[in-house]
Amino acid sequence: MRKNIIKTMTIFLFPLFLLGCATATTTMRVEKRFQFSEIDKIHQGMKEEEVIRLLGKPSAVGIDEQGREYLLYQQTGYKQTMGMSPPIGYTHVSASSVPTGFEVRIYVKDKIVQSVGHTSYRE
Amino acid sequence: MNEKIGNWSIGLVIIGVLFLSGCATVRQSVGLPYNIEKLTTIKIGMSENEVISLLGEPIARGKDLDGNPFLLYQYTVISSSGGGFIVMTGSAGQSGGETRVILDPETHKVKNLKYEIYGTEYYEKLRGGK
Repeated sequence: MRKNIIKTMTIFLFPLFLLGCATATTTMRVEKRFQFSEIDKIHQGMKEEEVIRLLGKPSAVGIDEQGREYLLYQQTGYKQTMGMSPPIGYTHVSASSVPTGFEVRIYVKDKIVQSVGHTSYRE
Repeated sequence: MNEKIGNWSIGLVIIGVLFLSGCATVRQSVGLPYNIEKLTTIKIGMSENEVISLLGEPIARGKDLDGNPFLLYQYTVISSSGGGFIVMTGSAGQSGGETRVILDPETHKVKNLKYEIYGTEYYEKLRGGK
């Protein structure tokens, strides 16, 4: 009797292993983590080396369409959720990813800060 | 007999836990490698051939909305690792990036340069000498 219950449970439980959802939090690797309030310390006329001392090396360096050089600091991450439902013969997977945190773009010219911009993602 | 069934149940629970836990490392690259270190040597007025000899063959060529031809270089490596039990946590790093060399439609000389390169390893290479 008990053996039959276990067998029946296995038959019904196994598909449940294939059905499920997962959540994940991923943070972007950076040289240094800092709070959003730290960017108030960055001001026009500051030397690039002072910025590096305060915030560490940037996540990226770039030149935009107007030829402006910038340092990009990403203090961002992603919250991901994924769901899977396996009806017989067909598996459906859905996933969503929402960015979190903030990024700061510091425009520099001749190694001197010209302006600071930022994007904050809602929590 | 009961002992056998008990062992079997424990086995089932262990398999279930294994399905819900784990860790993984993923390295994914997008595009084709090019000489990112040479970006600082690209100057306005340089010929298309000079650009190609420095950076390599572009992954794509195109024409922008202003009618300017451009060379597109793209190579990004995303490495991520994570693990957990039901709820996963992880970190991701990005290296490399995209470069667009905009050319003059008549002379095919460099008119503008735009790039965004990720990775602290490139900071010194691209900003060090400036």
